[in-house]
Amino acid sequence: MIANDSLRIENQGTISVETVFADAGDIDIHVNELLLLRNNASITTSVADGAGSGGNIRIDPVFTILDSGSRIVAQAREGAGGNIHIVSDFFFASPDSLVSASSELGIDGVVEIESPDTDLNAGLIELPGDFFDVATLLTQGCAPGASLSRLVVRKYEVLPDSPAALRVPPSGLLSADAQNEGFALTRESVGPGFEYSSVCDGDG
Amino acid sequence: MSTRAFVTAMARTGAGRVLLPLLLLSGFVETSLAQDDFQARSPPTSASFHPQDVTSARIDSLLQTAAQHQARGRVSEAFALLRQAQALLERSPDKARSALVLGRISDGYLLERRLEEASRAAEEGVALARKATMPAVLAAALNHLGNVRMAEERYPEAIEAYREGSALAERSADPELTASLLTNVVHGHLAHATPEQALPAFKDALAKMHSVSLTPSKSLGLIGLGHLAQRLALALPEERNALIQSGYQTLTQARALAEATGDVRAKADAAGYMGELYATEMRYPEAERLFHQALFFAAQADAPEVSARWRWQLGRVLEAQERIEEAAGSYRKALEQLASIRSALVFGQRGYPRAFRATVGAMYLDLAALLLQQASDTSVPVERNAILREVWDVMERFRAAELQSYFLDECVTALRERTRAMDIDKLIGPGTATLQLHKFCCVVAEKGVD
Repeated sequence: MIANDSLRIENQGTISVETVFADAGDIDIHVNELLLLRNNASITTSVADGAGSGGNIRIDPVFTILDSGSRIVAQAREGAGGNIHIVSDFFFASPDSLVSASSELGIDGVVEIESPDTDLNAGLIELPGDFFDVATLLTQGCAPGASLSRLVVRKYEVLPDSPAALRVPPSGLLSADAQNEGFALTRESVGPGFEYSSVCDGDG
Repeated sequence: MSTRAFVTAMARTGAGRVLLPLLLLSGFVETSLAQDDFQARSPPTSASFHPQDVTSARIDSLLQTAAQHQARGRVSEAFALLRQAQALLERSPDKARSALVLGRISDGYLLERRLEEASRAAEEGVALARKATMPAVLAAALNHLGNVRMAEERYPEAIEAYREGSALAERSADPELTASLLTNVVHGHLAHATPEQALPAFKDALAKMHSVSLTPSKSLGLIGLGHLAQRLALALPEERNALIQSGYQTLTQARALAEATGDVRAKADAAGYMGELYATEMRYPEAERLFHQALFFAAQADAPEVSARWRWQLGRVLEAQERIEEAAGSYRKALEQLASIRSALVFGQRGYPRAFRATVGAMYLDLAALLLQQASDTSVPVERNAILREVWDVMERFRAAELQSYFLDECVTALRERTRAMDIDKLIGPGTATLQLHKFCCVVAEKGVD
């Protein structure tokens, strides 16, 4: 991929090469000025399973900026991890960003960043853009009299739907009933085995 | 164009049918209608868009969004929307919509394991739905009632509600509703230990699910049926081959559908349950590969509970192949992943009172059993004591998690963390290994964990 000026990937945007078993392909990005990854953007090569090797990633802009959870990742499972090679005069990565070349079972790849300013960001801490509304998070405390208390940020309140759980009705049922206008709940209309004579009180 | 004219025009167009509920949900239309002095300036004609329709469309939107929140495990947001819907219904009574709102409220309580409230809301929903005389609405209300009865372990009543609901759903134009109710009939019979009676419902549910249009919920439904095929195969040895084959075909279709819709969570589950199917047939290398794929997709979906399940199942397959160290590592990772969603695990899943024992509890017990085996195989006292310390810790965490689940109270964990500082070394003296092994075997026998 070639860009004369700059390449910006934002808001979970991604450039990726993914395979399940085979070797992952390489990603080469030639940008003259600026490569900017922001808000969980990513450049990845990955192999889900098997002995395929991770793809290599090569990047060469003047400025490389990784911000707000952005990632440059080359990963593999059994094969060797891909290598990441970044040549950049100015390389900045926020503390929550990631540059990683890993393999779960094989040999990790090499991350090589050729930049004179790689340490500039070490002392920087990104300030949060918003604040938790603590009042809403503290709606359920410990039992009265308990001497323990702590703040828990929940990913979920309860587990999300699972295929193994009981099913609930789908939404939008009123349109399904539109063609049943005037339907009477009777033994004949529904089928044997269910008694309806006492429930149709006529006020519906 | 006035807001009224805009709403009327929107309601008559295809785009309006999509956009109008969104505008209604955002409050845009209600606010703007008030500004237009809607009623005073222009009384509605039979062809115009009636305010009652606006309210109904807003309630439908609230219901739909609440259902999406509940599916994602966010019950507080769902309750807030359902309360808004109830407030609208107080001003504008509508039996069918009231029944649907009560059904969703019942489901919210069920997800929080507040069974009394769930039961009351579901019963009221069914009573209202019977008066509304709309088959799909009554079928939905019976679906919610059946789910509550399952959680109460009143299985015959649950099955009865599902069966009545499925007969009614047949009269509606929604095959997914029928498929859902028939799927729950199968769950009911499995829970009631009458699997032979589940087989016709399973076949009907599968046929009905195939006729549902291509949606993410269809892949979820197919994965559920694929898993039920595996459970039925274990319960009905004489039907085993046919059911395993059916499960394989169903999960293959579910996987293709998940690929088509780009649903990575469904891709993870389709691969994982297929792995379980292979593991049932003792085809461990294939199962292992599928579990790795499931873990890959679960990581993409950022779903720790899905990752934990397939790490656990991967551990079982590794243990079956006597790759003990790898299996222990997989079990440990599964428990680490569960720790990140500990508060959600307190509640478990809809309608399954014994879900904790069957899944979360079994993860702890599998690791403890494996470690005890390792302890009994080693003759080096230092190594054995180190392993037993880990067993002790795993069992303590298991007990804390079980108490959390029972009391629906996370503070149990906090209490445990404060009191765990006691010196475990002092508790593991000479001969403790034998005592622990004996105690643990009793626990395993009592829980019925294989």
